[in-house]
Amino acid sequence: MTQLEELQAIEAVLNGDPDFFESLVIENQKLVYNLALRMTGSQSDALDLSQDVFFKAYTNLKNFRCDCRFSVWLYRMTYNMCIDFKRAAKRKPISQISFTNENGENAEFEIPDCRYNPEDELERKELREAVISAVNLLSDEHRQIIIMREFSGMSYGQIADALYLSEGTVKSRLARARQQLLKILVANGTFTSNIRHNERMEGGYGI
Amino acid sequence: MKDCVKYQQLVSCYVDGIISQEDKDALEAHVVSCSSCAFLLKIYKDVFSGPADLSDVPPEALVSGVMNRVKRFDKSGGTDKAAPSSSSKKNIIFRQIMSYAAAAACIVLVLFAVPKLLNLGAASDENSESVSDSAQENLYSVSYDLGSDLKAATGETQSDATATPEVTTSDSAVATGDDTSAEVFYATVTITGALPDILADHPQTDIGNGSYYIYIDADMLNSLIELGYTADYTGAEDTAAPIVVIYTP
Repeated sequence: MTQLEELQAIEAVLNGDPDFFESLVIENQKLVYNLALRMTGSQSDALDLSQDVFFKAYTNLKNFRCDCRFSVWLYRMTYNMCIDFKRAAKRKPISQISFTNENGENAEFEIPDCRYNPEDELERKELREAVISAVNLLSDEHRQIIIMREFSGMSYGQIADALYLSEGTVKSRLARARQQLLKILVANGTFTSNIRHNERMEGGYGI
Repeated sequence: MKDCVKYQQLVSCYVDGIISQEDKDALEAHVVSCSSCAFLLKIYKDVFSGPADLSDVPPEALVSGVMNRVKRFDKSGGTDKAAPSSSSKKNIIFRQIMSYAAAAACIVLVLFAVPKLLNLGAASDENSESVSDSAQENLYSVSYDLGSDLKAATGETQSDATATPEVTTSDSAVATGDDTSAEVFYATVTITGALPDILADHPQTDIGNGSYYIYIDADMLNSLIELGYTADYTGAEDTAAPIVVIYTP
């Protein structure tokens, strides 16, 4: 959906045709749901929160100022509602294996034991689970940008708008977040067999 | 190795397709002869926007749930009837209880106040007292027929002031405060034949024509809609009016 189509749909809803809101929900549900899912860790909570976000957007649509994409407005709303939800529920991430994160703090997570071979569907799924677990060990700043880019599929421009940053800052912050994420995956052995081989061949990696 | 550091810093932009053509060509040329950087590039491609496929597909109920809520909101004139949280569910139950209490209070007021008002300046003290006694009796035993009483009060002289008003007695009417045939609902769901499991334990009120009322809350209404049942919003202006399933076995 282009920005023009988005504005046309919003205008139609404000003029009394609520059916156009469905197209906005369909267009943005992946972004909202994945953000809520990563922040709550629960599919049922993510579903409830996602519905709450879209309903709140519908009832406050007249307050949307069109100075950013609708997705960015939804992102901010989703993020704030998830923070409120977590604060109220006092939820904590589930983790079991000890690890020292980039802040030097002790952290723990559980990952499946797997060899890195994404050609196999089962191992792709295991890789995905390993990545999701590792994301929980990132700093808040890095976790946020990884979720926005890798899980919600937001563009650099949308991320920049949502976080009030320049695209250049988004680019460098995302690059650092990815490096940290891969460090965690290497530490837990996700890429162990291949790394040992390549370390014998060359002088290491940039991670 | 020094060159590797330079190229590894380009990998993140490379996988997102936001690298300059010059840097792209340089990186691609480098990885041909450097297995470390080639492996790093492969990891980036696989983990970030690759076969890892990190996004989850939203459940189908997300869109339908939002649009149902939007339609209820519009139909109710701007009141959110969806109450997924337990605290909201408690609010709905509280409002329903208060609406029944308000209805009961109105009945009590009518039984006391109306006879007094209708007998002002017309009846003797004795007659007023006997009407008042009669009204108190009615409070505890029967529902009060206003129409008949008004006719008796306006069409008769004081000698008839002690006449007993026409009444209908119905234990169920006293208990619920309502005649079920005239009850107003916020929404109804009609179910014929098999009852869904989620309603199996709900009490049923026999309405006398082979059908039953099953009183439900907004959460249960949402659940029934998600199961495919259709809700009929009766247009009741009282947003605290009950929601009911009309069930015919």
